Amino acid sequence: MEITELIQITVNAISIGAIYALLALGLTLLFGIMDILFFAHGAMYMLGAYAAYYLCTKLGLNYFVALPIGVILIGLIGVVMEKGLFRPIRNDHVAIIFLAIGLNWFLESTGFVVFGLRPKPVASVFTGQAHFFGATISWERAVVVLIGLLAVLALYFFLMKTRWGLGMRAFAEDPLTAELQGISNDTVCSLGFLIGCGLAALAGLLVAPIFILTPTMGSHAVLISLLVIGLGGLGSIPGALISAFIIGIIESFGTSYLGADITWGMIFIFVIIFLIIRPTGIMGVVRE
Amino acid sequence: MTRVRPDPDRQGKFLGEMKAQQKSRLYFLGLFVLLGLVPLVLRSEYYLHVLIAMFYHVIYATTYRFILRTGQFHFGAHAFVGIGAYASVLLVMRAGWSFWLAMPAAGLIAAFFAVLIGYPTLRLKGIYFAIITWGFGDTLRFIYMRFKEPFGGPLGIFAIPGPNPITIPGLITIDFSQKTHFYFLALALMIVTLYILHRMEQSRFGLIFGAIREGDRLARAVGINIMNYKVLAFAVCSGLGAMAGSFYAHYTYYISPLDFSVLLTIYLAIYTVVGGQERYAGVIVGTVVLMLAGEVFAGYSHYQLLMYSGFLIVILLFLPGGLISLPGLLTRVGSRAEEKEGEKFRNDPA
Repeated sequence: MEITELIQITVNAISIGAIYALLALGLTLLFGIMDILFFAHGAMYMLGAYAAYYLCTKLGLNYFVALPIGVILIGLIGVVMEKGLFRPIRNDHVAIIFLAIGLNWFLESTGFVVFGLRPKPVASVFTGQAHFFGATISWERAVVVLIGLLAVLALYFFLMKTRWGLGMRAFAEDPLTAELQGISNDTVCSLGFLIGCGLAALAGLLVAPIFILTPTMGSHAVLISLLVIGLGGLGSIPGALISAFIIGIIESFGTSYLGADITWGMIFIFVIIFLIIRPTGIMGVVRE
Repeated sequence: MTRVRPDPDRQGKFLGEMKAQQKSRLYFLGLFVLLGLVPLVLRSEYYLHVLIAMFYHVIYATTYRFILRTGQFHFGAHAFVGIGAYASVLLVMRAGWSFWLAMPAAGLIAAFFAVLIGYPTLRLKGIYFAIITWGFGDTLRFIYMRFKEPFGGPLGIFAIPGPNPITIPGLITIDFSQKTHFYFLALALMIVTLYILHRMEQSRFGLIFGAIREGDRLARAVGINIMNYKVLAFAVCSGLGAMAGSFYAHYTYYISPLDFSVLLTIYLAIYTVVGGQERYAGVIVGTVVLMLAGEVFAGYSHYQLLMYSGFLIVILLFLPGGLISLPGLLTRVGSRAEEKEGEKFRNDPA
């Protein structure tokens, strides 16, 4: 009995951690490569979730057809935003943060106007549960965990093993030198926004059947992802992964033994105290 | 802060700046006198309420901008306003203090929290500070929500008493039964805050904060203890903002955790950027213009936020100096050719 309970809580922790890792992934990529704290990440995530609603529930498309359509569509919105809004002020870091803040809340309030105030449900794609070692996990959460981990691995290999990824890392080190080596800064930034917004949309599309959709879900997600990437070390992908699972474990155990609302307060306090003691995060990323 | 040979052109510019400053001081004085006369003509409760709301938002926004100007990306203004409101309400309702004692005490409590949070975190630049202050604000909100005793839980605290009456024997009694009384209190608070922050910005502090913002290593190298100055600015601004929060609580008679969500900070950021953060008057202009424009959508907060954030995006892209730079820009268009000639020789860092 004790062991089963422990396994169940650990499984929950993994499923929560995978969702948070997926949420934080796009944000940490944009921060790591371009040094942009992209607040509108939350809005992109919200748009992704609503894309699932409109494509699946309204148009009746298959979920697996809707998934790539939504991701590509929102990735392209990201590219348009980069070209139209962010490129003119790329060198002004303060202005970029404010622009991203403005965009996030602009899209959120647009969401209220367009999508309405009533929460929207998306029908589950996978029904039923999987059992192992006496623990239960619903299939849809298992799929989120699987795709989330795949996305993390794919991004990691893209950055580390491909020429494009090398170019992006070179850009992160020093944009000017990268430009001199023939790596176009404009291309890198567009690509970064394509991937970053696409990942946000992927997270939104994947959690749409699990969560209830409201336009404010984006701002809440940004705060969670900020805590995750802050705890992990800003811009570090392995750090984000580790800290997502740490937060997942705290949340899962806390919810089981203490109650949900007290757990969230504990997570806030834990992250703040951790950052005060070790401001560079788990992975010790130093940024000026 | 290097010593340069006196340059007649620069000296002329400096004197010109002094004169401009005196002039703008006169304008402000005139404006305040005018504002003091408003309740004599204006009897409508609604307009008075709009003006009062504007006054305490000007306080929030100027203190927010001041922290921004020290180079810190502050994202927790709502935390300190909330501390001020809750502290003063609890002091008045539970401990039985007078409002006039509780308001400054609330400011001091918020300043204490600012030092507590600021000392370890202000050495972190940029995003870390934003994450921690945002997290701090949401932690506090969580605490207000969670503990019904003494914070009132998610419903908040009702029936907050107004400020205690003041009697000047033989003259008048101010018992805060009318909006006019609150109007004068808010106006006085705003003037005091603006004066304190103006003095800080114009004095040596202002130069030091500029130096910290532009290059904190250099500032440290010339012997400025940047931590102390940053903590000082953070504490003073948070304390002043908290006093405005205390006024807000006793003015509206009702506070709830929802009043102190991150949206408050977002609004302040938008006011600051739209008005223009370079100049002191910019944030005031931004607050006044946006709050007046926002009255059109009063009650429809989504449309209001939509308009504000749309404004922010447009200003960032097309008018980086904010609304305050607009008159200067318009007059300069005519004499741009002249300026280009002079630019070759001048090398202003600004």
